[in-house]
Amino acid sequence: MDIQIKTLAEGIALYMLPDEKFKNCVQGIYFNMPLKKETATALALLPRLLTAGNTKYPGRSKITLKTEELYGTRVQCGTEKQGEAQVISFVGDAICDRYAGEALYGEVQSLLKTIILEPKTENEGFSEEVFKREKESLREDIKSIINDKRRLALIRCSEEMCKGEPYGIRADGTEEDLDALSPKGVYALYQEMLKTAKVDIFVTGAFDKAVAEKAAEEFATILGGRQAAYPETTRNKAGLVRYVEDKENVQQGKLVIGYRTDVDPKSDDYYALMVYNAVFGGGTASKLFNNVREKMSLCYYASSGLEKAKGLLFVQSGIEFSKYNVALEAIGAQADEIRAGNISDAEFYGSVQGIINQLRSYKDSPGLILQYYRRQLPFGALCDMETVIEKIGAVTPADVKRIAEKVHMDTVYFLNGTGGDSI
Amino acid sequence: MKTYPTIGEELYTFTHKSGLRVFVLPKKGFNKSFAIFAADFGSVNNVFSCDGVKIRVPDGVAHFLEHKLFEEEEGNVFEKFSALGASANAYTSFDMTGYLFSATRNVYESLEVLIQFVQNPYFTDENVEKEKGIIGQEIDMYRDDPSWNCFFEGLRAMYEKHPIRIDIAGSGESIAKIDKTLLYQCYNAFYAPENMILFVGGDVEAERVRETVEKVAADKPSPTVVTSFPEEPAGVSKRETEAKFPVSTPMLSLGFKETPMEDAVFAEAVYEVLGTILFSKSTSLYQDLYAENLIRDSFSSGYSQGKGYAFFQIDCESPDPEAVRRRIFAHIEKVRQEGIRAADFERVKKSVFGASVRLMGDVEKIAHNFVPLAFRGGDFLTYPDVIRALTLSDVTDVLENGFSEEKSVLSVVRP
Repeated sequence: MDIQIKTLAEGIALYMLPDEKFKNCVQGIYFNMPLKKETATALALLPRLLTAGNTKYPGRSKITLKTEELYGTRVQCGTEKQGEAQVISFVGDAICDRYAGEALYGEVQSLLKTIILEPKTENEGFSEEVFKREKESLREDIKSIINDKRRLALIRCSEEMCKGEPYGIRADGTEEDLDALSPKGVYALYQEMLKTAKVDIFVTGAFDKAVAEKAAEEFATILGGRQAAYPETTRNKAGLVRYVEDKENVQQGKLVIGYRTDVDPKSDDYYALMVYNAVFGGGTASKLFNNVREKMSLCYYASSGLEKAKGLLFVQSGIEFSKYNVALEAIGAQADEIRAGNISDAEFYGSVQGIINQLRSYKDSPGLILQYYRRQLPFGALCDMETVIEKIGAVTPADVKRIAEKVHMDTVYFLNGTGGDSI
Repeated sequence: MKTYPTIGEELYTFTHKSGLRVFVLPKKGFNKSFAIFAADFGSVNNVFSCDGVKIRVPDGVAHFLEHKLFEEEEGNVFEKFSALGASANAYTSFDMTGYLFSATRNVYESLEVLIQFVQNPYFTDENVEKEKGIIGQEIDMYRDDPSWNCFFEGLRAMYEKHPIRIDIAGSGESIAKIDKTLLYQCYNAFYAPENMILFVGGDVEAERVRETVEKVAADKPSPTVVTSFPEEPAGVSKRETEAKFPVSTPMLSLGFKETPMEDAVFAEAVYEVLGTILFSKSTSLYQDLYAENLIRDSFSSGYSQGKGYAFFQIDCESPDPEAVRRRIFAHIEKVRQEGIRAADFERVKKSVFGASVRLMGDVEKIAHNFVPLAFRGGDFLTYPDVIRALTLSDVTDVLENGFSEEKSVLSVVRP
C-alpha cells in the first residue's frame, strides 16, 4: 500500500491510500493556517459557523439528517494545533459503497464541499443570527475547559511554558478574543483562508481512486491555486526551570512537567527522541511506569508524550497533594538515569517494540493512516510505516543517552488542592 | 465456523475440554491481532456462594484482582509482553473483567503469556499493600471527573439495592479491607474455565489459536458459583440528585430505568435505533434546545444492559437542567402521541446499520462488544443484521413501555 500524491493546483495536494480490505472510507480536507493570537479564536469559531449556517443545510440538524441518510456517515469539522500551525479540518467517514449498496463517496464529498463553500451570508458577512449563537456556544466550550482537570493541567503547563510564543496560544480560542469578533471580520478571514492556506486533501480506506481524484480536482479548481507553505514552528531553548501552581477544588493533584528538546524533527535524531520518550514514560516498559507507579506506588498514571514540531515533551501524573516533592524528584531521577546511560535491556527493547507495534497497528485503520501521513507533511518527504520502523530499529541505547543531553526541564506545573500547602 | 455475509466476516468457535469457550475472528490482510481473556466477574458480583459457601466482598475487589493478576513471582508480566513486542492492558466493568493484548508480531507467544498469567495468581501481603497506593490514586482521579460522577450519582439514585450502585474501583475505605486471602477466594470462584471466554481476532489462524489453547489452558474443574442479587424495586430510589463540582456550567444526566430484555443483542439494537430517533441531532428536540441556548454541541445518549439492570441515559451540559428534562419528557410524549414516522425509522435504521458496519472494521471494537454479549449468549457479529430486521413495532413497543417519567432520574452536577 503506497501513498499516491498528486498536486491538484499550486498549494493544493491530494493524498490517496486506497485499500479494499477496509469497510469504510475517510476523506479529509485540511487548511493549514499559522497559529496567531489575532486569528486563533476566529478560526476556532469558523468550522462551527460553517456547520451551523449553510444555504443548503440550514442548521446542524439538517446536516445530521443528511449524514443519517448517508448510512451514519461521521462528519467532523474543527480546529487543531499542530506545532505553531492551526489546522482547520473537514472530515467525512462513511462505510464503503459495497456495504451500503449505494454510492456514498460522491455524496459525502459534496456534503463536505457544501459545508466549506456555501455558508449562509448577509451583508458580506456570516449570518448575524448564526454568528451570535455560535459565538455563545464557543464561549461555553472555552469555559468548559476547566471541567477536565487532566487536560486543563496540560493546557496550563504548555501556555505558561510557551508564553510569548505562538505555541502558547489556545487553538480553541479565548473569551477575551471572542468578544472582539464580528460576522464581517470572521467572514473576511474565512475568505483569506480559502484563498491562501496550504490545502491538503486525504482519502484513505476502501474507495474508487478515479472517483476520488475527479472530485478532488473539481474542488481544487473552485479553490484555485495559491502560493502557500506550511506555517513555520520555532523551537526555543529551555532557560531556568519555572514553577507554576494553580489552586482548585480537586481531590488529586495534577502534575505536568514540560521539557524542551533541542532535536530537529526533520533529522534522524528525532527517531532517537521517540525511543527516549518511550523509555522515559511511553508505556508499560518505561521508567516512569515501572518506578514511579509500580515500585513507589505514587500514582495511577505517569506518562510522557512528544510534540514533534515544537520539540516539546510533557510528563503527566496524578498524585496526592503531599507527594508533590517526592513525585517531582522521582520523575527527575528517571530522566537522570537515562542521561547516565542506565537503560536496561528490557526497558530499551520493550520501548522500541512498543513503538513498532503501534506503527504497524496504524495500518489497520483508515483514520490512523490518514493522521500518520498528514502529521508528517510539514517535515518534508513522507515515510511509510516500514521505513520509520527501520529507523526506529536502528536506534541504539547510546543514541538515547546522547539525546538525553538535549532534553531540558523547562516548566513544572502543579494543579494543587485549595486546602493544602503551596509548592 | 460461522459466516456473516452482511459484513464479510467469519467466526470460529470451540470449547476447550475444561469448559473454556474460545472465539476466533481472522481478518485477512490486517496487521494487528487482538485478544481478550475474560472472566464473568465484575463489580456487581459482590455477594456470591462458591460450592455452597456464601461470601460478601468489599467494594472494588474485582478491579483490585485485575490489577494484581499482572504480578507474578518473577515480577511484572508487562515485561513479558514488552519483550514480545505486544502491548497489554486490562479493565473491569460492572459485569466482567478482561485481560487483553494487541500485537503485530509473536501473536501466539503473546497469547500463551496472556492465558498463563491469568491462570497464575501470585498474591502476597506485600504486593497487595503496595497496590493500594496506585488504586487509591485511580479512585481519586475519577473523583475529579465531573461527568463520571454525574453518571454514577444518577445510577445510585436509580438503583436502590442492586450492586450497580457500587463504584467499580471501590473507595479508599473499602480497598483497605482487601487482603490476599480474599483475592484468592474470588479468584478461585470466578476464574474457572467454565466462567471464562477467550476472544482472538485479527491476523490469526483459528487452528493455531486452538493449538495454543490446547498447549497452555489449564484443565481444572470449575466450582459452582452463584451470585445473589438483592430484590430491586421496579421504581427508582430518587428522582433527583445533585452534586457540586468545579465546572463551568451544570452537567446533567437524565436516566431512565428500563426492564432488561432476554435477548441482549436485540435490546442493544432496539434501544440504539429508538434512542437515535428520539435524541439525535436531527430531531426538533435538539434543534429547539440548541436554538434557545439550553444545550450546546455535546448532547449524547446511550443504553446499557447487564446482570439484572438496564438503563438509558442522556447527557449534556445546560444552564437549566430542569428545563431540559421538561422538554425531553414533552418530546417523548409527543412522539408517543404522533407515532414514529416510517421515513424517520428507515433513515435512522440506515444510519445505525452503517455505524455498526464501520465498527466491524476494527478488531478491538469488535472484541470489546463481542465478549460481554457472549457471556449472555449473544453474538455481536449479528448486530448489523439485527438492526436491518427491526420493525417499526419493535421500536414502538419499547417507546410505549419504556422511557417512563416515573422511572427517570435527573442527576445534576453544579458549579
